[in-house]
Amino acid sequence: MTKYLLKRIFYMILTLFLVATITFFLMKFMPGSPYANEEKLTPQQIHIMNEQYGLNKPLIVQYLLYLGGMLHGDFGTSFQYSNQPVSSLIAARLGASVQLGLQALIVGVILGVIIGSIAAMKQGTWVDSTATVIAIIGKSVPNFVLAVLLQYYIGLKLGWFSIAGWGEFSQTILPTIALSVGPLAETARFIRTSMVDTLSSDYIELGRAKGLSRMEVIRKHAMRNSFIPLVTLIGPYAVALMTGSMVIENIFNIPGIGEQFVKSILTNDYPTIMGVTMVYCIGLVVILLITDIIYGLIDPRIRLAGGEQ
Amino acid sequence: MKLKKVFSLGAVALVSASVLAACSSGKSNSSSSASKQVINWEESAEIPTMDLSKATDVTSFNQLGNVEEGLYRLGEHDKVENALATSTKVSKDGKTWTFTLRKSKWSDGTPLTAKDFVYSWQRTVNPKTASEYSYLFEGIHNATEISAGKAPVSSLGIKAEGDYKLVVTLDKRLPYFKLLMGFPLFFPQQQKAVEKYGSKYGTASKYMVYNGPFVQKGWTGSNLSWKLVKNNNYWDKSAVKLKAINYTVQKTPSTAYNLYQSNKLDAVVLDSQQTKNLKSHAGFTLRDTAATFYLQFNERNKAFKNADLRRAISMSINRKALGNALGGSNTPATSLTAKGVVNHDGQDWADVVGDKEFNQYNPSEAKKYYKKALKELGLKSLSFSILSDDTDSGQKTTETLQSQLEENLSGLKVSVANVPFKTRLSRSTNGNFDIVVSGWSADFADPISFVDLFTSKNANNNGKWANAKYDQLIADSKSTGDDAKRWSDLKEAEQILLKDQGISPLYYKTEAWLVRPSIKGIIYNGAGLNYNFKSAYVAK
Amino acid sequence: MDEKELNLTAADFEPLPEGAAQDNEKISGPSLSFGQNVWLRFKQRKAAVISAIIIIVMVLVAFGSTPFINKSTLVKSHPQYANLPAKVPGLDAINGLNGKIKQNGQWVDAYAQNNVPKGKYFVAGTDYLGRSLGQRIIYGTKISLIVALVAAFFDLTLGVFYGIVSGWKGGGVDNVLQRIIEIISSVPNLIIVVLMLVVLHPGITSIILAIAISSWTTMARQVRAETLSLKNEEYVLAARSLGESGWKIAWKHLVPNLSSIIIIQTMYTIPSAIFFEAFLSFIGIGITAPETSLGVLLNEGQKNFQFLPYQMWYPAIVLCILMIAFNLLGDGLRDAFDPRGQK
Repeated sequence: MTKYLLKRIFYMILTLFLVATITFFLMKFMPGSPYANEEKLTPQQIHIMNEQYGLNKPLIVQYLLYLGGMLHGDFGTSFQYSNQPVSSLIAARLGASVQLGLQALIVGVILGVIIGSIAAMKQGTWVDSTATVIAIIGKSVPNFVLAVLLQYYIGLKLGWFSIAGWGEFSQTILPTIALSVGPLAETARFIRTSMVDTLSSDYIELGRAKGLSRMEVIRKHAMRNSFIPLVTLIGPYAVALMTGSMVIENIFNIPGIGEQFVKSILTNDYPTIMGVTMVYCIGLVVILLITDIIYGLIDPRIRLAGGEQ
Repeated sequence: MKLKKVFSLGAVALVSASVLAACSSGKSNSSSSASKQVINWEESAEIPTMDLSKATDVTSFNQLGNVEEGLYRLGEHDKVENALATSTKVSKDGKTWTFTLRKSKWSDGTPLTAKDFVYSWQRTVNPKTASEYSYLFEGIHNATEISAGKAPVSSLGIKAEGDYKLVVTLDKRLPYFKLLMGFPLFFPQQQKAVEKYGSKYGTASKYMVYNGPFVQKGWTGSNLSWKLVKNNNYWDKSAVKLKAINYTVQKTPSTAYNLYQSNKLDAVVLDSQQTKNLKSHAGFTLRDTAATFYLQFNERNKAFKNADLRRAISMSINRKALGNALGGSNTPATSLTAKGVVNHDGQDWADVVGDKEFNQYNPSEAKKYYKKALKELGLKSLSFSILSDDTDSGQKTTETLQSQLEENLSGLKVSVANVPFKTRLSRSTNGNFDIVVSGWSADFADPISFVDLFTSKNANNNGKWANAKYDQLIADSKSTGDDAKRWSDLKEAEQILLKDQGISPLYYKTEAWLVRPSIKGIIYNGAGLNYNFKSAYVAK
Repeated sequence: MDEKELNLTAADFEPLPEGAAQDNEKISGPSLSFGQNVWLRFKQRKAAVISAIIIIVMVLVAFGSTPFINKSTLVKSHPQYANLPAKVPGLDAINGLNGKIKQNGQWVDAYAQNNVPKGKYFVAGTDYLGRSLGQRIIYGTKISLIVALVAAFFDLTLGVFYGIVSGWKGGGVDNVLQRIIEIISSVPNLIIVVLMLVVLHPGITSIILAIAISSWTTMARQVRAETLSLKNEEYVLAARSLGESGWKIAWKHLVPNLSSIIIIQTMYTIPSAIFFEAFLSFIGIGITAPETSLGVLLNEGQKNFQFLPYQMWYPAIVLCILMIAFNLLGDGLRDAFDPRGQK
């Protein structure tokens, strides 16, 4: 176990190092400068500014300095906000995104599990069809369209929840719904398929033959075995939520990191782009590691050693 | 069987959607009541910095203009009103200005003196500060030399004589000098605060010191909401009626309008479709932004050196249709100097210099010029690309132009490139374009703020259009002491530019807003400081 | 019972009819190949069949429209017809389809307001430059389908191949291949697209390339996981010990057994590719004018939703139908390929 963990962590660091390297050099090929009025600056000023941002050094030195800084959690200074360290920008914005993402994940997965389980148990009935339709519509409507509809009909016309903003709980409700629909639909479909498979397997038949009631069999055996594979979906969900948050945060005025990322792309704020990319990667890699560990813990059939024989 | 269920469910969904649509919420009480004197304002972007030496954008300057105070404050129609200056003396040659200052305090209670002005100006022109706006100091003695690192900072033409007298020396007469003094870039800064906060100065509300009508609270550096609260140390605090202004950054126009409708916001900028539909709405307000959008032709490309081709392109553009596509509040442009910026002898300068021949939609003339141009160039057909921003209006502009040009000029192939703002600037500067849609907003209300751009050496002249007569006229206008000659030089210059289509003006940018009708007393100016909330209040 | 009383003679036995013994061993139904089986089961799924028909019709209309709706049609603007709502001949009674639109709570005839000639109909309305929204939706569907099909193609080729190789070879090869996947999927697609836009001309090519680079990784992962478990199955071991070549095993045994996973994953890729394209349009770095896609149209429509709801609803409905059809088809195919899940 320890050996496996160490190995995984080594590969994580390798991955992050490669991602940092690739993004760093790709960013250097992006056109545009950090200065808004470049043509109005004197050569002396440009020289001093390049010095301040460390842009006058050879590329390889810039690269090494960047890697070195990153080890201390220093991603450089934003081009967009003068004198603001990227790390503090990210720190100020990460909370909102993580909260929103977690809320959406929890709501989506719980509702998805409920809908999926009911559909599987009532397979072939109208309940099943309804659940299928909900899942398909959930997958078929882009979340930014849904966000606009929610905001207009529920926020404005019905006035049930806050239209936009951040700070109060009621302001998180609509964006959470908009973001959770994707995971909800995916979970519901997944759970339904997986439950149907499990329900028709031999040990369930055996349980029934032993005289256990249908509900008991489902509770004791089917649920656990159908839910375990769900853990593997958490990685893809995390990616979907990261992408989704860029749009949803924009529509609902949420000071999150996705919104910041889009803004930094549109303003050529390289240090912020690189910083946020790294934060996304770290998040993703850690989530994948955790899900693998959890998967190994709850399903004894999976050995953590993976493909080795 | 399954499918039938799908359809019936779809019907249910549709019915419930229409029920939802039919419902409408009751009107809640407006958050901006007369007793509270609090308003909720929209800003379209985050504040990049509150350090006035480093600010380059509208958002920062709007904030600074309301939390800081300079020699003057701009009133209605760019009227210069005394603020910290109580009296002003100008020498006969117009090169020495002496200001007497009133006694006033910073928000931390320390007195504000002439030294704070000297410190602030020296800090801005110091190349170490790397202020991107320091070019506006051009004309003040030694400013350009200092920015280029060729003269010591202390040689700047500003001196404090005692605590309350300020003497400024200019290298040449600046007819618009008073207007500049109302711009936040020329406001004072407290040396103690700048040094105390070091690199954190101006990166959050708490790392600032204020002397304006309001103080800022709750801005942490990159967040989307903050507020301005009345400043109790302000010299003229009895004139300030608002207790607070709550700001939120709005990035999606439909969200902002939803918030306005539910009384969570008191002012919103409208996008094109909103403008069209809300024209007759109470509170509909048009704001001239002192900005002109125009085409620059890259004359490094041989084809665009041909004036007839430039004219053909200009005359194929239906500017009215373009304005409608963009929203209907933008007006077709016939001049470089924006409408509503300069009023000379009771006439809008844009009307005085505007060219009605080549900036008018005239497809049949356009075709003639196009044929002539192709013949002169020895070409059968032509293809080029139009560069613009990737914003909504940038995309609509290129799409409309592409459509109009291809329709009117046969054999023409137009492609479009929409890129982020800074990429567009950098491609323009490097000459990496065929035609670029550029915009310029006046720094101060004078035509020179526009026509200076297209002298052959100016860095903003991205297309490298060059005309010796034009250069001469602009130079003359700067050196002459005769006001009438200055105006006639400026007029002749701009007319040359427009006749030769060195640039093709497209439209004057006008923003449409919805502002809660109960809010009164806001002063808006297109050039320089946009919003002045000092005298704003909520009426009963 | 006394045994002696039971006297069995040879006459008590009757011979069976000729060939009866063989008949017992015979399978009564006709012998079906794997493909025939799949087709039989697929046909029973009405929803899937209808979805397949809808998709075929959409593909035919979208691609068949090329001679009529192309760049030069899309580039033409008619400012006098800008932002007209739908007007369908013969539906004068239905508000919303008769050229009327709600303004300040009242239904107003937008066609009369803009002095549009009597005989002019736009069955899906027009956009802000007066171009037919119907035409744009058809063209947009084509672009979205192209993006989806390209993504599916990379999934099916690169993803499947990569996954099988990784799972089958195992050990060091697997390790290296998995690290590569990890790195690719740790860089947000958005970054890849932005860089593509810099290197190449912005537009559909760069979007397709970005999708090509990033979309196949999930497929490769899933195929690898399944291959890992399949390669220890008895029939694969048997084939191996009989000395079959790796390629033959992969093609004969792995691919058919992987088919359900591959199809489910492809059906997952197609909607997400369409989504990704729509998402790019939303943040403003999608397809460039005059070309359009469902994503561009939706983004355009959601901005004006309060005033011109039809501009969002029509592309949204088309997108939803497309998505639902792909999803139902995917479900149907999965059940057809993998009868275990059926009851």
